[in-house]
Amino acid sequence: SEFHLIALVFYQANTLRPYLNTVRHTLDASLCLRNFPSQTVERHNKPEVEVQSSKELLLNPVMICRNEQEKCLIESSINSVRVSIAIKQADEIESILCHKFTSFLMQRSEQFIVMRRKPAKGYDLSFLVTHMHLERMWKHKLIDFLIEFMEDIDKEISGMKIAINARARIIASEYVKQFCP
Amino acid sequence: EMILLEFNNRILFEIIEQRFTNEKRELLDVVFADFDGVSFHVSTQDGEKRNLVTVSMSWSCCSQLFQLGAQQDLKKIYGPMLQAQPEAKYDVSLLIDLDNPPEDPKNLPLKISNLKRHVFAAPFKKVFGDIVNKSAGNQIVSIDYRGNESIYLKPEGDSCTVIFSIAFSEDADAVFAKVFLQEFADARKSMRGVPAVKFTYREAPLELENFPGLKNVESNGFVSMVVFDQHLN
Repeated sequence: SEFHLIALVFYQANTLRPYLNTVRHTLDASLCLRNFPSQTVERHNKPEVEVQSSKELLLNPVMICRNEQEKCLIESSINSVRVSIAIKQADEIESILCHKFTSFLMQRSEQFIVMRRKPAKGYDLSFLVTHMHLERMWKHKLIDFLIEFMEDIDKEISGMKIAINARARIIASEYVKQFCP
Repeated sequence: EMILLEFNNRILFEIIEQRFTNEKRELLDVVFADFDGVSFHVSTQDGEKRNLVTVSMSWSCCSQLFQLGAQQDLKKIYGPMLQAQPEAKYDVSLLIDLDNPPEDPKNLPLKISNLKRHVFAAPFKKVFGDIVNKSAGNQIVSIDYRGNESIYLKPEGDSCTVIFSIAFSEDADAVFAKVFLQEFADARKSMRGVPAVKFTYREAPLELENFPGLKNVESNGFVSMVVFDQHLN
């Protein structure tokens, strides 16, 4: 029913702010990083969340779920944090758009500095923040960036889908004009 | 905004046009391609008689199209220009005498460059003509115009279902096709007289369920459109 649909949309819209706020607070707590040279290899400095070799350097990963599909995994360690996001893909076309869009971004991950070239397993996009990044960037600004990114990517994909449908409508009406004088 | 392709071959049009307007007649030997694996050969076969220009076309489905009435259509359109025997390795040849054109040379560039279109149109003309004359049977016509793609015409009383089989190089392309065809189907709600359209992917469309000539079922998408005699008139 119409009421059910409106209630569902309202509820979904209602979950966005709590979801993003939770992610923000978790990031705020996790992004307390310091330099920690590798315990296993002399003179090396590795992001411990990626290496995963020493249990005492890793914190418990936190997963924040907006719904079954959309979620955020935050894995922390003493010198680095990995943030992975699963993006909403309601149908086949959003799935294709999401895949192409994230591939495009990840190929240019150096430009984003904190973006990982490959997403973590089960997710669409991942970020890796190290203590070096936090020494150069403002923590609160970095968190703002990550939260805005999560919001904007959904808007981008919706926008692209609308553009595809609009173009399809134009083409269909041009073609159909030949049948209806 | 929209790029609408022309029906005729632009290269062929310009070659013929230039042949008539240029006073100098150099030896000619050009080979070029069109869509659907078609190739054209335009040449002056005899160096001494440069007024005689041969235009030949090769297309894998030509023999199929000739059986469906293309031969007669070409005779009517091109008259004496149509050669009984095509050039070697080609399926159809036209011979144009620049000094003795069979009609006003102003019309020839367009007429010659529509060669592929006229050959391709033959089965459609035949089937649609039969439907308008109410003499159509139920026989399904296959046009294997590309290696892995075909067009099928299925007449049924006063309508004809035209089925296009499309090979998608990626699965994602099939998804985009569905989006476009959905809009096409939606156009029926706002405009009258729009043909009904359906899309199936990797499964035979209902209209061709038991048709032995159906190819590439496991790989292609199928677009079916139903046109009525109001569209055909």
